[in-house]
Amino acid sequence: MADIYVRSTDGSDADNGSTWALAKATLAGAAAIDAAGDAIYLSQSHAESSAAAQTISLAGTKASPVRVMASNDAAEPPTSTATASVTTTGANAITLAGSAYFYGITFNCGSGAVNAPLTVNNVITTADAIQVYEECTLSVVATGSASYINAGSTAASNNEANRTEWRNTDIKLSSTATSVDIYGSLIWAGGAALSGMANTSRLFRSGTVSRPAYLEALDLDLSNLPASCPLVDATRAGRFHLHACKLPASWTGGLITGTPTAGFRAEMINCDNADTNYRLWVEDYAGSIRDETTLVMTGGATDGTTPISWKMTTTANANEFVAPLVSPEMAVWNEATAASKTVTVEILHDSATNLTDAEAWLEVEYLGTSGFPVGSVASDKRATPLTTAADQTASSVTWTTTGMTTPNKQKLSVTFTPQEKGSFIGRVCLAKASKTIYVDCEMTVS
Amino acid sequence: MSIISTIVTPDAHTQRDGRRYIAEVHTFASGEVVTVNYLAEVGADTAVIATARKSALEAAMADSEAEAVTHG
Repeated sequence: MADIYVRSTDGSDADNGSTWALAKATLAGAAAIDAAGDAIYLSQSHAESSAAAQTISLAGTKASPVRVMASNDAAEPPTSTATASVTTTGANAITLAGSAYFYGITFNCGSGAVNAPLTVNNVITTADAIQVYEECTLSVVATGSASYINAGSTAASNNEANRTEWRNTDIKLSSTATSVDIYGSLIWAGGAALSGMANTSRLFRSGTVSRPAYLEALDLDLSNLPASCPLVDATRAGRFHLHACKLPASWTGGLITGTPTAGFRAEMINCDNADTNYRLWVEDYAGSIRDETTLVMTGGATDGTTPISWKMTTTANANEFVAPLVSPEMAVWNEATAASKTVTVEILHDSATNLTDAEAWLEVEYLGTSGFPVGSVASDKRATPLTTAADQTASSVTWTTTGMTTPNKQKLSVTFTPQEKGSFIGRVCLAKASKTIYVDCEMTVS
Repeated sequence: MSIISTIVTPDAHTQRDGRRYIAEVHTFASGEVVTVNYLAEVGADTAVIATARKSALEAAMADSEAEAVTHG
């Protein structure tokens, strides 16, 4: 495994890159000679700029990635990190391929009202790849309507198998028509949307209509997004999970734009522009789920200060057989074994007509097999699709029912016998179309 | 393509911190419906927000139509 040195100020791609004195001038120059496992060091003074498209195909593999690191050129090999930049101007894209780890590099892509997408982890062979960017900046400066950040291969094939990670990495988009288009999976843990972000039509979407994307977005500062920027395009399938993110002040953009397809679900947990820690927002083909702090059960779920329930609202798409709206999981640790347990969840809705066990039910996963961690599921859904539906049990707990005409309190309850210690994991399912219920999101176990 | 109807429906009640859930429903002349949900700040002018979004949605639709013409 070799070390390759790159410094734009005095390097030359005709040199062999073996020392700082013989440094390459460009990252592409280093990529032309690299081998799997090599380390490519970009000097702290490295600031290459090109008026030509840059396709940087690194020779790394998943097992032996190439490492591209901005570093201080006082030593060979360097002993401290730094920052460096790779820039294109005009309608010139940057494309990065091959399994690799990047540290401390700012990529500035294109300039002017032209198309210049920045594509990371572009798979150009049949092999899948992993690219990780740490302490980097991915900035598309061009303002053309196709100036996306593409996370993963835009090719028709090989775009599900790869994995892209951004760690403490910032991004910027400059066109209102663009987004972070995800091909395969993207894990973005830490970082920010930079100041000056365009008011994009959506921040994230699956790169292709027919292939679902997977996003895990954690611990992000999204406060620089324009206030009306929606986060996810729901018209393309995928699973989008955002957790512990700071949102823009006075944000009105919403979690999704468009009507969710059957294969779409977005979950936003504990994200807000205010000092809360209970926010929940789910958008799904079958409906939506939001946190609720007014219509709550007395003595029910709370974050310690604020009482909370979940407002589950189904669309006309919801149905018992293939599209119930499923809540996030609720968990309670269980120490007892070989003893009958009853798990109950309270619900509230505004109707004199009771919900039946074909319309709303509780599922609880528990460890029901001794000797193995095999999960079992207990449910108070009707026993079979042909069983006559029966009303769920009425409840006598107290709820705040502000604005309701006919508050109707019911409870969902299952009884089972766990055989192993472990978590009870509960989910409320709502299958009645165009219906709203409030769920006390704390299971009680007796 | 223009939006022929915009309906703003606030939740009947506010949340404990004073914010209120809002549903905006925009209907295009084609019949396409765009719904936007958000949690409005205390004192937010939801009509102004809806008007701004209407313009943005019409512009986005125009971009989308232009792209469809360009790229088939």
